Amino acid sequence: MNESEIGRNYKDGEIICREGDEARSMYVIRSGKVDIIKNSSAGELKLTTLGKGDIFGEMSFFDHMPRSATARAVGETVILSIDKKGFFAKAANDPSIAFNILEGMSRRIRSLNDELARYKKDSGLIY
Amino acid sequence: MKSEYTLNDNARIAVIGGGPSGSLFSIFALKMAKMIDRKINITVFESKDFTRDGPVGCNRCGGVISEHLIQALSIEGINIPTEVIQRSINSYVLHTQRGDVFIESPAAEKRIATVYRGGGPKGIRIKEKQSFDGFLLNCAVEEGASHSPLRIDGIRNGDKPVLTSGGNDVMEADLVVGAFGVNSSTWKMFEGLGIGYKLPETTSAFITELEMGFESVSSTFGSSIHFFLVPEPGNVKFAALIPKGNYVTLCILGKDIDEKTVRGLLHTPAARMLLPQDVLDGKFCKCFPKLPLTTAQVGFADRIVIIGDAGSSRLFKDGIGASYMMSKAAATAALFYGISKQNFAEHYLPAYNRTRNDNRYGRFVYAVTNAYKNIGILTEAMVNVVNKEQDRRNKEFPRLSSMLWDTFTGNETYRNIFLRGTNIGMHKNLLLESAKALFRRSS
Ligand SMILES: Cc1cc2nc3c(=O)[nH]c(=O)nc-3n(C[C@H](O)[C@H](O)[C@H](O)COP(=O)(O)OP(=O)(O)OC[C@H]3O[C@@H](n4cnc5c(N)ncnc54)[C@H](O)[C@@H]3O)c2cc1C
Repeated sequence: MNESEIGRNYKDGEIICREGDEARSMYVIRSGKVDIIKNSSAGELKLTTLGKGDIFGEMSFFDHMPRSATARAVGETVILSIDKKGFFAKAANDPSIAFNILEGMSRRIRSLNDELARYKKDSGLIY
Repeated sequence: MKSEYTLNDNARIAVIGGGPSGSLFSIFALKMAKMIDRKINITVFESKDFTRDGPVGCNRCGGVISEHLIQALSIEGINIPTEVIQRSINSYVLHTQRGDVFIESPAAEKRIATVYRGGGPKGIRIKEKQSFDGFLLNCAVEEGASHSPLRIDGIRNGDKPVLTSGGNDVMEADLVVGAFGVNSSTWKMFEGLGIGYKLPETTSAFITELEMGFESVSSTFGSSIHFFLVPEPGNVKFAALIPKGNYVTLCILGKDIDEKTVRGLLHTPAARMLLPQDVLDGKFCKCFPKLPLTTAQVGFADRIVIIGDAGSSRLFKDGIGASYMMSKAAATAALFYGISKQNFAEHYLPAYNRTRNDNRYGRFVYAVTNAYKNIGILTEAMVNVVNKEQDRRNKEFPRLSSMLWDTFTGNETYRNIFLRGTNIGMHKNLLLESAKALFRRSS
């Protein structure tokens, strides 16, 4: 890893966090790409690919549930982890620290809504 | 509800100083304004050119960006690019009179960065990296702020404050943000306003840059900052060698630091092991920047708020992290509540006082650290306990290591460090190791 890169280096295919695991951190992508994958009875399903600056793993921070998906590095990737306790300690004094995360989550819900609408239309559930 | 102390559309904000607190205030105020669909105009007055090398382009400091600040900025969407980072850090080495201890980041990850605030040491030959302060100022400009290179030399307080430069009125502002630090004479203007403002008490520190070459810095320092907790020279409180690109920054905190003190420190066995002979014997540049020891009296008034070092900062550590917290608190107060003295008292003062109160714990933490630095038996006990904790086979929570880590990195509030220090088990270990050290001495 470059002397001036902060975070942790992940090799291509390396797992950053696994579906079902307990969550102690969320993550910011410093460089590279990350696939978000869900395991289903039909096999592995890629939900999305995230890139530089994206934040992931934040859902478990807020809903206190295990990881909802697996995150896997695509190529050489550098990830900065954010501690759960530190984040909430900061948020207790300054809730606005979560604004950027909320923005990201809203964008994601919006695109999920679009996808859901497309899916329902394609499968004939709505007309 | 509209009041004369609300930032309405097209309100004009003057930020005096484009160091970390001025730029961060501008970034957050503009982001918050967008959230509530308000159009505000911010001008950052900063006369330094952060691309220039040497003190003229630099807000002199150790340049360590703390773990907690790196995380906070990343969450906020401000990712410090590698072009700004000189070295990434994952460990500290403590040099004491009774040996050295290596303390690794509890996260086992490089989450601390070293940077240059300006264009680097005077005469730097290869300028591959950018300035940290320049990066933040650019972020503010990208967010919508204007940067003016004027130096503000007067403020008139009428209905609204008016700023002057070179004898000319340059701006009538709805809000003036004082982000001028403690290393200029700008505080006099604010003291002269009759709002009760008084600059924090300060002390001088010492900084020099030692050129070693990139490879040599990499092989000797790796990803570690070296901290000196040594009783001699007696006027040194603590000192650190901070690896940068081709250089290592030596930063000393203490009283009346002169060339003799610096040479004394450089010739301690630990420093001699780290630094090549020509660096030890060579000439070095010197600068003596000030840092605040207390918080300012009355950091706000109607249409005026003072942030960063000039207001309320953390004792000896993480001043840039404190600038982040104060600038956000001030931006939140101004944008969401208002710009009257009352608004700042209700929504800015709590953050201001939090830092001030935490520094009280800080003074205690440093007094204890000082005792462990100076009293040989305690030093030996501390070194032994930390070395045992750092042994990977040891599965116990490394309490003392984590306390030292948090004290030196500024990663935790001093209050939390203090509370962690009340653990009986840790004191039992320290007592046991002190007794062993005493026994070894007497036999
Ligand atoms: C020896 C030393 C080591 C330190 N090491 C660290 C460290 O490793 N990590 C850390 O986090 N903190 C460190 N600090 C603390 C850190 O430097 C400060 O907390 C931080 O710089 C405060 O930021 P600021 O924006 O409030 O003030 P400053 O950084 O001082 O910026 C003030 C700015 O205002 C400008 N200005 C002033 N007056 C005017 C005017 N009239 N018109 C226009 N512009 C004006 C100045 O040019 C300057 O750019 C250290 C401090 C010292 C002294």
